[in-house]
Amino acid sequence: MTTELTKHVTQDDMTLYSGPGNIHSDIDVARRTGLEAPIAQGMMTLAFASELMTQVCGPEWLERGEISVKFTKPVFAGDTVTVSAAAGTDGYDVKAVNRSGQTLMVGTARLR
Amino acid sequence: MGRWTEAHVGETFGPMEFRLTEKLQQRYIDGTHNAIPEHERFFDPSVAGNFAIYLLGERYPGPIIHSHQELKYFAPVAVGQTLIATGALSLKEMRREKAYVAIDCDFRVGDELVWQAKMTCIWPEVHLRGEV
Repeated sequence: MTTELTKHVTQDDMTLYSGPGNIHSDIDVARRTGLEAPIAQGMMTLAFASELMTQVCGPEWLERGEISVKFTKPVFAGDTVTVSAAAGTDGYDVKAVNRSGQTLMVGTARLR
Repeated sequence: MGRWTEAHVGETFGPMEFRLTEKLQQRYIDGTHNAIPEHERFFDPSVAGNFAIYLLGERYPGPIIHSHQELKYFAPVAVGQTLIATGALSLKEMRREKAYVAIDCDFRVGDELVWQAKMTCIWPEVHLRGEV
């Protein structure tokens, strides 16, 4: 069984989550760092997965949850991100994709 | 400000205090449009990854780009509580001409271990500053 959660990411969301004056909220800082535009903080995408895992596992997630992910592509303002948790033999395969189907984050999650 | 050349595996960080205020909680909830009832009373523990950035950034400021993140949760942490974070650098290496570091962090409320985080990230600054 696979459970999904979809979020639309705006620049306002990115600035609120990460604060001002950094690669997530300021285009000049982002470009000085070699990025074409501000990118969403990886932890934002992981927060979407954390929200999903709390939906899937309930309050136990806060006491026995474990998650391990790799960030594979940046999230930009305007992107739509769908995170999914597919139940496996020892937990869940977690993935985040954008509207083009590109994988943004991939990993595993489980309750100990 | 710390430099890439000074960072070493085993280097320790903290203790650093994080006060989990309602205002901070609201910022994370609103920024992600988090609709989970559990996260109104208890902090979404994924913020441990954000606090790991602060812990590293206190000595090595500047942007980082997350590569991997591992999180383990042991107890819910309520809004209003105070976390004490400590960490140790567990990786420092060049991969495909990028500077990677990892920091392993423990987060405690009082004496109780509540969260663990291992953050692996790329330090773009070290290239821009010509440190590697």
